[in-house]
Amino acid sequence: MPTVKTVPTLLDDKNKVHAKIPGSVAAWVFIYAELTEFGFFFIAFLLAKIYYPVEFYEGPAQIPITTGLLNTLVLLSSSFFVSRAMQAIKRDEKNTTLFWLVLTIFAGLTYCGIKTWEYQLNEQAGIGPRTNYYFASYYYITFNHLLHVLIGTCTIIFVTLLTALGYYNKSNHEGLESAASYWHMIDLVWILIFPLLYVLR
Amino acid sequence: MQLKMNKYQQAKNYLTEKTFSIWLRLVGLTLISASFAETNKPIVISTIFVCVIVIIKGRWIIDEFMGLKHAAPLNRKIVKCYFYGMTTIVGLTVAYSQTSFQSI
Repeated sequence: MPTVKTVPTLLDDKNKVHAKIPGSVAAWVFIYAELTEFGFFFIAFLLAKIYYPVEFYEGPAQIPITTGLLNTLVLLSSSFFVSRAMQAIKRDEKNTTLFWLVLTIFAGLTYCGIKTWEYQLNEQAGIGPRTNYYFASYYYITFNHLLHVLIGTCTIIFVTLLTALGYYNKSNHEGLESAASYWHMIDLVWILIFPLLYVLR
Repeated sequence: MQLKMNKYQQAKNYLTEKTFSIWLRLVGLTLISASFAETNKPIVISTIFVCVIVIIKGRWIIDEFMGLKHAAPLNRKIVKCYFYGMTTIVGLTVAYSQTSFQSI
């Protein structure tokens, strides 16, 4: 007697969950483009490291690890805040969502402040983008990441305003989810930048 | 007494909540990896250790914070392949650089 196999249908709850991506497809195309851009930066950095081993060996010891560490903690916290905001909007808790989003904006601005402080400390130590190949790469990657944090912060400010105006709720929050995914991408890239520029020699 | 217990329960629930515990673990791993920057003579084993930490952190962020654990599998695979692949390339290049630098 032939056995009957259960074929999953589109109405299957499990498959419905698996078919979804957080945010819009357009936002994910943008995220992939950004990841590719940073991928090229990392490869260029590693090639330069092979060609100039002494400069890249001595470089990380000359930049302040404290600011890099503080920025890592700030970005990890900001990712946690965004994650909490997403959980809150899915429960239709508008005020809680706004609270976590405001904390994320604050974290984004704190990151920019710490990065500016780091550049000032470098300048006081006589370090600049033209010092050597290591610092040229360091400034190129970190400044680019800073720009992405600024773009991300502006996006989070925008979605916070839309949330406050009631555009997002339990059933409709794709825009907010797209902004959250972009923010997590910024954090993910920094997780690789931190050891590459500050820790590993 | 009941109110005190409720507050204790609330605090306990918050601390054991998954997102918060992941954040705590991420902070802990970051502090451990930062301590490797203070070592005078970098060795290959510490590079491998830092890269493993980066992979664990990335995995938690992709799965739990980004929410890709229960999302479309293709999306999750692309992001994970990128992150794991890039971390491996970084680890191998840095390890190669360290061994060749030490042999000079």
